[in-house]
Amino acid sequence: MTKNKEHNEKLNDPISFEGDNKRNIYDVPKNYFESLQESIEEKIIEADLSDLSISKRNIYETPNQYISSFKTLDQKTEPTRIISFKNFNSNRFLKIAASVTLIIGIGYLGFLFLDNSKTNNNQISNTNDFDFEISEYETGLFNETEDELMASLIFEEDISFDNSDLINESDLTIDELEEYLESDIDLSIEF
Amino acid sequence: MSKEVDKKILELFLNQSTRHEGFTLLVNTYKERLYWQIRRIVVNHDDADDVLQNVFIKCWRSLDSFRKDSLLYTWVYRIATNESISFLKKKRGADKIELSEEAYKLQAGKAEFVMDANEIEIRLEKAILQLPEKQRIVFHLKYYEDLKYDEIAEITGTSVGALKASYFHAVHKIKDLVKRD
Repeated sequence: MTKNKEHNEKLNDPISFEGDNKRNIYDVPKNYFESLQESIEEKIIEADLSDLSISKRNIYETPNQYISSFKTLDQKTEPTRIISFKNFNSNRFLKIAASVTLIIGIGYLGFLFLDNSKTNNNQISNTNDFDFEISEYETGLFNETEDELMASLIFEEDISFDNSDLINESDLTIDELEEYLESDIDLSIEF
Repeated sequence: MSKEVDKKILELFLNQSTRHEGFTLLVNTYKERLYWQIRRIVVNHDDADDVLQNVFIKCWRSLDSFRKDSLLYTWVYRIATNESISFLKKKRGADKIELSEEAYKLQAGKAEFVMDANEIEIRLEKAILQLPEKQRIVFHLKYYEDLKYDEIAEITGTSVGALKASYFHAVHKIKDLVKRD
């Protein structure tokens, strides 16, 4: 009886190891359990299909020698190949569109350039590369307003302007100045 | 094991319109528990994956004919146990080797454990692997799953008395092996 008691006690004795050793320590691939059901269902479908032993042959009836009677068409009479827009190669289309745009763009820029270069020839450069010799008198003349200049032309009036500064600043006498006014104005332009 | 969940699974599965929903609930309820039971028997993850998938495929095909004389979870565990043992038998047959204690030790050495597994845990796993298959199953169901002897008896088809003896021997063998290492 004592032996049986000891035996029963041992049976009831739970395992005791240090710490909590009941956790599962084998490494499992990431997301394994999440994708498990999908894998199972795929296998079920595969197994069901193989159970049915479905043949893949075509069972629709066709006229005798229908396939073998296909003839290649003459090149002359070959119909125009119609490309469905849906099947159109969008990449190729984009390349063509880009090329056309570039050509038009270059053409337009070229046009602008040519147009500018023509008019440029007729314009007097406003850079300081040209050496204009303008007398101080002419500077004074330019300082007049446009209205005054117009008035002098229309009414043939003498332009009266205050050239006292000019006279004071210049080395010319009044006589020399008048002589100068009567002479032809020479604009020396040196390129 | 929740009896309410098992009842729900059966209700959904046996109704054609909610069959898929029932199967999903079955898989989600048992996948991890069954996986670990199988993994402790076959050790390798890929093998465990194959066996587990086969278990659920069998459940899908046979649940219609489930006789409610046993509980659903014992029925599922029984399928998993039988599939694991069949797998090992096939593997032995294919490899033509006798899986002795040394082979289990080697297998344990090749098994991938988690990074933070401590020494005692690894020793325990290795010791478990040295048990015969049926003892290993009983040990797993009793120690890890915490099932009652009568539930294990239903799963393994063994008497309660035989299970108690089997568990007793398994525990003392493991203790000796763990201390020895």
